[in-house]
Amino acid sequence: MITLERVGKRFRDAVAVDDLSLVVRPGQVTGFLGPNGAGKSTTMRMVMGLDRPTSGRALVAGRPYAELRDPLREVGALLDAKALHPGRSARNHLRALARTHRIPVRRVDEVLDVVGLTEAAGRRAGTFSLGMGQRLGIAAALIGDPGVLVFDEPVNGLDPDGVLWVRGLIRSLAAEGRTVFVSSHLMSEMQVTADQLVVIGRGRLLADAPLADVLAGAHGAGVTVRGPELRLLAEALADGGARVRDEGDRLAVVGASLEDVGRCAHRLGVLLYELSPAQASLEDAYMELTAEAVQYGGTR
Amino acid sequence: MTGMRATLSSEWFKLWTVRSTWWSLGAAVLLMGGCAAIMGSDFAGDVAEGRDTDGATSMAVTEPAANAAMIAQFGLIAFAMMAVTTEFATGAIRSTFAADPKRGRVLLAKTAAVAGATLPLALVMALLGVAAGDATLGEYGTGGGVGTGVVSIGGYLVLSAVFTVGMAAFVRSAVGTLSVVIVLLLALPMMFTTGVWNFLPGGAGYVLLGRDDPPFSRAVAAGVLAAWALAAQAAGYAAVRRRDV
Repeated sequence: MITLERVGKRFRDAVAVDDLSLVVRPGQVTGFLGPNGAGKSTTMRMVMGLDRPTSGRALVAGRPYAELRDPLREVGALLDAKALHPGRSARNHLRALARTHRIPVRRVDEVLDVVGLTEAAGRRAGTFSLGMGQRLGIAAALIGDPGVLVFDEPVNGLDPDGVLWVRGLIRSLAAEGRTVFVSSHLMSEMQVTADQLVVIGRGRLLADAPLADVLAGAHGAGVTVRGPELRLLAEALADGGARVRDEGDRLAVVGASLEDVGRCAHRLGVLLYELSPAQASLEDAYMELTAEAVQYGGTR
Repeated sequence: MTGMRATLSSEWFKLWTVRSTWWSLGAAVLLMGGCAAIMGSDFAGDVAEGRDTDGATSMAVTEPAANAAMIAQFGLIAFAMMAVTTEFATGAIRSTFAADPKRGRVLLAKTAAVAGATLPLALVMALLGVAAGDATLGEYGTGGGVGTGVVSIGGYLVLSAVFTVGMAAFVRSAVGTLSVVIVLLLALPMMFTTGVWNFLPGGAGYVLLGRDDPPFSRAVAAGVLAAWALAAQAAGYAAVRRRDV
């Protein structure tokens, strides 16, 4: 379990994280989404005790990270795959970590095997590809067999096989009852791995809900209507309390059911070419939630 | 269980699993033996051929070693520095602090590992330097004070390594650390040899290595240098405790 209690982080000239409260629960995958610069990595570093919150508290298993007795047995993290000495071999990197917790060398070989790096274990980590670096980072996170896992963009740089493998690993870690907190900028990735979604923008919490709820609440989850002349229908639906977006030859309607729209059109005698449910994707939901909060967006 | 011994064991292990350690320590040993031999044979040659040596006709066998230590120390300083700065430069420090969030303990463990590696090596280097000086000075070498000389050189090298670890934790970057250490240990004491300048780390180190007309005793010099090492460690401790990584 990870608990954020009104956590804030202010750098000299900018607020990175603003009054963020959150509980990341065990036994499920919690996806952490937000545009670049939203504060995801800063939040994760605060959980790991690497950045100090300006206000509030970040707790792991009920305690601040610095007060954990055996941190690697409680939390494992992959924050930055390149955060290691490039001249040390992968195996020695893990052995150095293991020594801090008196973890036997046997466990080092185990996690190397789990991530598929047994063959490359003797190579200097600086010679690794990004994908191999990610695997080594995941091995380091798993070394203490922790109940809480924090992964910052774990599929970054992985080939399709690697992506599938990470996806399966993340799912199985959660299925074992662990707390899994995964950030990603890939919405499609979250749609297939996450159970719970946390969305932030400009350091503020935008959504914290089960994946299904976020999808259902998306603007796109509504009704699409197509026809030659829809102005009357649009006005009537809006009067009835629905949100209507006019897209030229079609309307996107939210807050009215398929049946409502059909009845209304029939009553007004409006000719329709199409009346269909709009399928929301997480992408739509995400774009909608973060539209206001994009910091470095291009003009659209 | 995490703890001082586990963290120290990890830091010790880390020192010996990168090549830069072997390069820098090897360089220190070679510089010590090589420079002491050159200085000894230079002096012996000058006296033998009647060139001006300020009237001196003999040299203590420890003197070439003491002078060589001023150069050879940079191998050890590079070693001490890289134990800290490489982790900050690569981000490896985040794995280190995640594994042991008691940052003061991590700095202490790094310092202990570096000092533990440096101490025996510094004594071996001092003996090697004296032996090289003795061999090359030949009949122009004078014995006496070898024990004091060896301990002083060894002590100087260990204290400057401990000073460097503290400075590196404070400054974080390799270039910055090296600049500060060179200025304080080498440049300033070469420019100024009077008054308060003698109390800078380099000035005190110069006295500890046995300069002529010392303004205070070697014991005082060792104390001053130790105080600087402690101050650098305190600055490093305050920095790692306070700053994000």
